[in-house]
Amino acid sequence: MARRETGVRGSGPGDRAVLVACGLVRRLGIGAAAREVLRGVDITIEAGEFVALVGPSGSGKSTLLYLLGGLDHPDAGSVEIAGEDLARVNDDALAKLRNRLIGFVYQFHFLLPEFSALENVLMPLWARGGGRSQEDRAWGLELLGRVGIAEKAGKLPRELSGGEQQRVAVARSLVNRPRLLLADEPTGNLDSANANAVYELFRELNCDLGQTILVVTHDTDWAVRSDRVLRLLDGRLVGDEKRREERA
Amino acid sequence: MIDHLRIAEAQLRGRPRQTAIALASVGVGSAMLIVTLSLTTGLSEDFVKKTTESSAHVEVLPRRPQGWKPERLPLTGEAVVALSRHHVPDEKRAIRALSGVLAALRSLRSVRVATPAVEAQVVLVYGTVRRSAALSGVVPESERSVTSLETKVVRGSWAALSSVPDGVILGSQVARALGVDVGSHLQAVGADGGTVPLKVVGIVASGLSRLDKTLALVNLPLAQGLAGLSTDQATTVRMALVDPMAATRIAREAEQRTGYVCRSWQEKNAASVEAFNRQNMITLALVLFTTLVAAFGVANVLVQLVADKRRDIAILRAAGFSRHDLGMIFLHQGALLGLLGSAVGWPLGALLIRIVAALPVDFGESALMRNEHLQMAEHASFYLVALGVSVIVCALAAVQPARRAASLEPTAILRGEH
Repeated sequence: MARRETGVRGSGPGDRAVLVACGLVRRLGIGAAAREVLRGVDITIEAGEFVALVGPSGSGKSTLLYLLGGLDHPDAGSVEIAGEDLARVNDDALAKLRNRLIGFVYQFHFLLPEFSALENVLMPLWARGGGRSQEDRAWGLELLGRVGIAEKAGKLPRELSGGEQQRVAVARSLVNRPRLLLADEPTGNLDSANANAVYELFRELNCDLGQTILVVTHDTDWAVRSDRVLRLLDGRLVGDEKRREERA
Repeated sequence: MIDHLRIAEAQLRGRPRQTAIALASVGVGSAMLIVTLSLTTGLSEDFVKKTTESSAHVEVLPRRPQGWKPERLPLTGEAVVALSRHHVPDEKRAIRALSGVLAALRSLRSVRVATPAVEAQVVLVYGTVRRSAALSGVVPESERSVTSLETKVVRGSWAALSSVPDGVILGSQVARALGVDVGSHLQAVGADGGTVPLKVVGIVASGLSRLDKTLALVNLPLAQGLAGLSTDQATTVRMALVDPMAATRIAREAEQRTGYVCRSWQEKNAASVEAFNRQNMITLALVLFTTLVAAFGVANVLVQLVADKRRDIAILRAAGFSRHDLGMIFLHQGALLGLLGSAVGWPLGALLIRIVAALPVDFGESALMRNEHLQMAEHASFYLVALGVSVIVCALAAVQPARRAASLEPTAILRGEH
């Protein structure tokens, strides 16, 4: 597969930042039940990085991921993706921005049950009025080939195994050639063989395509094998460990 | 352009049972609408048809419009001069200078036939039986062009009236009340006591109970004699028009030309027309409620669908679909249910129209109109109206579920799955 322009842009170190989050605060719950889930988180992720975000349950990992992905709004702080400040746009513009810049993979595959694997992959293109051209379909098939299930393009989600469904979800997250791929426990619902296959897939995407990836995971294996590990505890970033030299 | 319809259609297909129930309720609602439109229109059309076929489209009455002055007549030609003569107070009420009036009326465009008639209340006497009747003296040859009563003769013949100077054609219910049949001889007693012998030459059953109960059709000279009028006088002139629906306009023109009050069939039957319209409106309103009930069914299905599809909605939002897109998807589902529901309703409606039309009915002899079957109309417009109403009502029913779908917060849903 040809290398496509995904996360990398510019040449200077300042230009390489795909994600810049400053002072993120998020409170959840109302009244007496309200609690501060994130207490001032700063993160910068550069193009081509493969980052694991780890932490115990309730440390605020998923909440942080939703803020970074523009699915939720912080109570304080800011998020910039590829130079676009998510707080400066209205709700519909944010949806478009999400569509253009970010790919999501969830713990559960979250495929639409009425549509085939290929249609699910093309779904983000539908959101921008595309996904019907021969070129788009070919790109969708290419992605399905990349995740190893091109021959199941016409199958409905219920006709696929759990691992296959998650592969479709990964292909879907890439169809818009996002600058940043966010994954929330992508292997949390898979057996170890499938979990390993999905990890390899992410690694390939990162190495071959230069895809910038941030994965929330409980899986220590993932953390060990990623380029950089961010540790979250009680809503604060308590560790930022680079495990591998950044690729040129 | 975003293909909202494609997603809407797929989501409905993914809920076959709920979708089928919604389609069935919309289908029944639109079928009811079609049948009701057919029934109300059929009754109205039947009434109009029977009325315009069996009575004049416009009739000239023997009185001047209020505030009328002879100067108002367009005084051109001798015939018109004769029309302008003032009534003498103790003269019998009649249209005078009949030939001049007829000429003036026949010069009007869209008047097909104008024929004089003398109408008088009489009592028909047959042996010891007496029945009051509306005697109508006509010129049989031209009367047949004004009304289709000739075709409603069930016994005897219309033509016999021309050849028998004292012949009478009776309404079927009058004949039955008197106990007479074709060939019977009876007497007609006028308002001032004059009596003429009559011979029954025909019996007519128009289907309009007002006529069948009172009609006694005789030759014009006989009626003129009984009413004490000269041969250049009549109590009315009846007109048949090229376009019966233009009758009220033509009546006004005829009034201008002749200086006599002219009345269209719509004006004459205003009470019945009004009653029909009111009845139709009430029936339609009731049926629209049926459609609204169907709409509630659709709204219910869509509310359920939004609840069931919370996760999918969150995924679509996360994938970049805007709130507007989500709302549009559910509005499309409503419109689609309306469209497909009326597609179910069309054949059902067509079938019901045929079933209802085939049912025998008997409204009794006192009914305004008599028919052996309900007169169902069928126009393409009924089906299009049912389609339009269904789509619009179902789309409206989808507004609230669509708003709910659009307002869902994806994070709350995605977080809830963990």
